[in-house]
Amino acid sequence: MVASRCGRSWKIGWTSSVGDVVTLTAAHGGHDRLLIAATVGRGAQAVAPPSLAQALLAACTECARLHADLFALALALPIATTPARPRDFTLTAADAERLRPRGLRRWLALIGTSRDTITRPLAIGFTTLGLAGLLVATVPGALTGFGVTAIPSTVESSLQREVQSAASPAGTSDAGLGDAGLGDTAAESLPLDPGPPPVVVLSVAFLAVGGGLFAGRRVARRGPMR
Amino acid sequence: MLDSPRLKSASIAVRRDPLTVEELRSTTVSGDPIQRRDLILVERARAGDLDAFNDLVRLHQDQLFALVVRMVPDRDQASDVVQEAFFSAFRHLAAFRGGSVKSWLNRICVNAAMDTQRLRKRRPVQPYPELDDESWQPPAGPDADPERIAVTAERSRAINEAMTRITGDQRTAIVLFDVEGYDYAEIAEMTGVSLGTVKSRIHRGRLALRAILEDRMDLFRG
Repeated sequence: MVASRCGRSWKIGWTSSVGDVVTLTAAHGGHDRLLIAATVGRGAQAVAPPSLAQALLAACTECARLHADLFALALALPIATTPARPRDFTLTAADAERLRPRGLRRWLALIGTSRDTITRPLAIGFTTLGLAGLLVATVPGALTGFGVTAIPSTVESSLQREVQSAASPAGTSDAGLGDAGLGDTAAESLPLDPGPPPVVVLSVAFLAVGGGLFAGRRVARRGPMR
Repeated sequence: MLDSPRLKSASIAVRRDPLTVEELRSTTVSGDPIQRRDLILVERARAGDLDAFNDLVRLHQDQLFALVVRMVPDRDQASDVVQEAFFSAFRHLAAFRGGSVKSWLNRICVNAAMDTQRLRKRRPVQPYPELDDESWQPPAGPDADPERIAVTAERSRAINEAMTRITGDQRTAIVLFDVEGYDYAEIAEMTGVSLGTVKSRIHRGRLALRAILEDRMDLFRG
């Protein structure tokens, strides 16, 4: 944009809404053209310009000309002719048959509709539960220096210690334990390889269900329907 | 039934069997006869009546093509977009929540056109190769003033050409605001951007149009 000079030279001290003083320069190139553009309404609707724009329009002939041009363009745009429609867009019976959702698409179409108010909260709930469960399962272990995989052995060993101390309150030996028969039963009941704790399994399952619901909704809503 | 003033004003393009009183009463919409007519057609289409859907197509295809061809400045691509939009509308009839059918179809077309614009960014094509095509010219009545027709045609040609040279986002915002009459908030919701971004696109787009048309602004003045 070429900076042009206005018809007359002027300088106005201006207090804006935020309280700082803005000085309008005489050069049109320094004027806020976006502000002028913002004063152009839709079609014949005029927008009441803010005071700063009013000052610009009153004092700068270039700004006034810009405003008039933008207004003329806004008026011309809706009445500009467009190309004729090249063909008929009606659907044939074959189109309709092809487009009717079937099978999985039909199910997806059900959960993809905007009237479906169940799947999204469900997906959010499952995902949240899953993440929370994973956090509960992993964070305490991580804080104490053990990962998720370390938890079972830790739990197992502490359980063994508790069983041993319960079986021999006076500090008896392992032989004493065997006599009582309690230690064997408790030791047998402890799994050798318990696998991941149930809370982790449950959390992963929740995450999978939640993620699956989100993915299903996304697939169902894919396309121009948003 | 077809003599009813409501139906006359609605001017259904093709009607094979007349609407029943129950159909007219069962639709809970405003008194706008056009909306009532559209909603009845949607309900019939949902029930599997292809003719009802095609009536909707016939009623809205001209307006939708005019909207899309302003956003996608290639007639063939615009045509494909409108066809895809109608396919999508048919597929998602169940998703229609009520309200204005025209707005619903507009929204589908706008989304499809924006998708096409994104593709065009990656694979640009020559915009409006048919600018010199006679089909751009408005139909002339027998008593039309030749000079006025020429000026109108020249204005349309100039502004349509300038529209192809601004960004797709600005073009979409300007078309939705100036041509389709949506307000800022509606455009923000349709295009998935903030209100400020919509305003900025419209204002910057207008300034860009004016800069492109600077040498030809005499066409639009006075």
